Amino acid sequence: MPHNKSDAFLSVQGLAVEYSSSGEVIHAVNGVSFDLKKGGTLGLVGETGAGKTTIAKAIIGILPRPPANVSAGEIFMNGRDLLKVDNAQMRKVRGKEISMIFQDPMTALNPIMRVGEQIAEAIFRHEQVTKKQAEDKGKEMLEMVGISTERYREFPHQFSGGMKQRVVIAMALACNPSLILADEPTTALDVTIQAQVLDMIRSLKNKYGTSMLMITHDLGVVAEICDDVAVVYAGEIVESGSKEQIFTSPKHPYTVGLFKSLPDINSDMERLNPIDGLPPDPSNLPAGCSFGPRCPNFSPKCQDHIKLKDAGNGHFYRCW
Amino acid sequence: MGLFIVKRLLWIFPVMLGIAILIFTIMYICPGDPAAAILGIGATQIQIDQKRAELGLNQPYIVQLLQYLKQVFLELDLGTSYFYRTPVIDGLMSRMHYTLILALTCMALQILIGTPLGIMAATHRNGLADRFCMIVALAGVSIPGFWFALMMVVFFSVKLGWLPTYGVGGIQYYIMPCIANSFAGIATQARQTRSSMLEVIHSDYISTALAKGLSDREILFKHALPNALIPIITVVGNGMGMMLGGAVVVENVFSIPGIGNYMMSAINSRDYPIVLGGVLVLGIVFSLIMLMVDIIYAFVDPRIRARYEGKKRGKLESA
Repeated sequence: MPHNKSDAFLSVQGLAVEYSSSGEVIHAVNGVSFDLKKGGTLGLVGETGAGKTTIAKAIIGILPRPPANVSAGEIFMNGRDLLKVDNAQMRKVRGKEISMIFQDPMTALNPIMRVGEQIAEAIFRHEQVTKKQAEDKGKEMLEMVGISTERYREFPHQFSGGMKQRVVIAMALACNPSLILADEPTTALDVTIQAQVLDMIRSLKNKYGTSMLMITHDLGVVAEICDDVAVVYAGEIVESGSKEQIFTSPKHPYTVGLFKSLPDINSDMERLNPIDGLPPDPSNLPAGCSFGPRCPNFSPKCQDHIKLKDAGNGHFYRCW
Repeated sequence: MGLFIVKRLLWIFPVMLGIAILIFTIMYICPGDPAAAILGIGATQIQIDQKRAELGLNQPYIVQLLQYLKQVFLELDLGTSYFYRTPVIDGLMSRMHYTLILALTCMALQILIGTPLGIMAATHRNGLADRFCMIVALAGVSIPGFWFALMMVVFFSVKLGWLPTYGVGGIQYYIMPCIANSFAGIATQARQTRSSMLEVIHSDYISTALAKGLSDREILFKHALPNALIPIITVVGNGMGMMLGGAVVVENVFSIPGIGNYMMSAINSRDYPIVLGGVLVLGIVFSLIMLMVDIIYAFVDPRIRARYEGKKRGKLESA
């Protein structure tokens, strides 16, 4: 994807991440590039195992090493390559400039630590405050996500799933980060709670002008909250563009398939339309287009390397 | 919490009843006759029969059992030794402190050495430190305590002459018994700490803590270790049981006049009241330790605390 570094707030270029386990190398992310505008929201859409979470973890620098290894690429935030920042400096970035909302609120909180303390901990770590001030700020954050300050000293098991996710969000926003990585923040929640949490994320994000990378497999979430979309398949971006472009004129067969598989409430449809086949084994990716084996328009030339094609106005796709 | 403790203390009685019935039955089935043991080889059958009648051993099993239970649980009397003719409780109490010193020291060694070894192994997974710790731990769980004790005696006492071979006195008398008795415990503790740390390190809340920008130290001591402690505490409790049991063996190897030694000679001479009394006293000690373990659990894990208290959420402020 062509880009202009000065204009993007976050710019990921050619990122590749591998996991090695017992001699086998798993290519989780293969040359991913995307830009995120200041204050914008980019949706990273794809199936489970497509490498979305790995991308986010690489950005915030918490990939477990070993087994993970960033084999190529650059991650620029405000012009600084985060992959070149040493660990001590990176700790000051984590939680302060970049924070992450995790997928499963049930397990994302330390079960034996008071929720308030878990929020205050990040504040105390990054801001020049006393413990007391950190606690006050922690209470303020709880109120902001709609939880009474009386519950500051309670433990995670006393909270429902939706409330835990609010705590996780309060924790992520505590130090007023400029970038939030939201890793499927609503997947583990009830549908009714999903809408609440999404609304809250959106309003808080708008209030503070935070940029956000929204990782999801739910196109509904994308429609709700994102400005731009990048579709990830087998560790590669197969199509990217504005939400309108992707939703109204998807170009890549995988994106087309994703939209086709959505049930339409107006049509009298009896069965869903899934994409046939399974995602490729990341330790043994097919040559050329990794979607090839499942593609309805497969032809021999798909086995060559395929470059991104420009559909105009910032809409790109990786197909003939 | 108070109610929970009282409940658990009351539970000790049925447990003791079970232990008493079990041990009494085992001793009853065991071959050997206390009367013959007391009178020695020269005794005639008539003398032996007389003695058996005197000790009440000619009664049917069920009568003997009920009599014993009545004596222990209603009269709170552990009886009199067949051999020494002194109250069992006095004999046990005068020896108790040797056993307790041995068991508690071993316990402390297990916690203070085993836990750091396990943490080191987990944080340097597959590294040199990990391999070293795990080899030591494997040796610890594989080598029988009594054999290890004898080998130490051969080396440190007989060859080098550094440490006394048996008896009690200053601290030097406790070094080998404590090492022999705690080696397996240290090993188990290290292995449990390692595996439970490794499990915790891979949980999501550790990623959360990392994403907050905490240092490795903070993550280890504030998030990982407290969570990893929960299964470790169980091992400590079980370890205490092993230490008490091991003390019986080690006291005999090193001739420490503790409860273990007392019971061992009582087993040989079929001195039933001592054997039964010793097991009951050790049982009470063990039950109290398990109660302490449960209280520590509640202290570490708020989820368990909430269950003990049986209260609804939002009422834990005072806990």
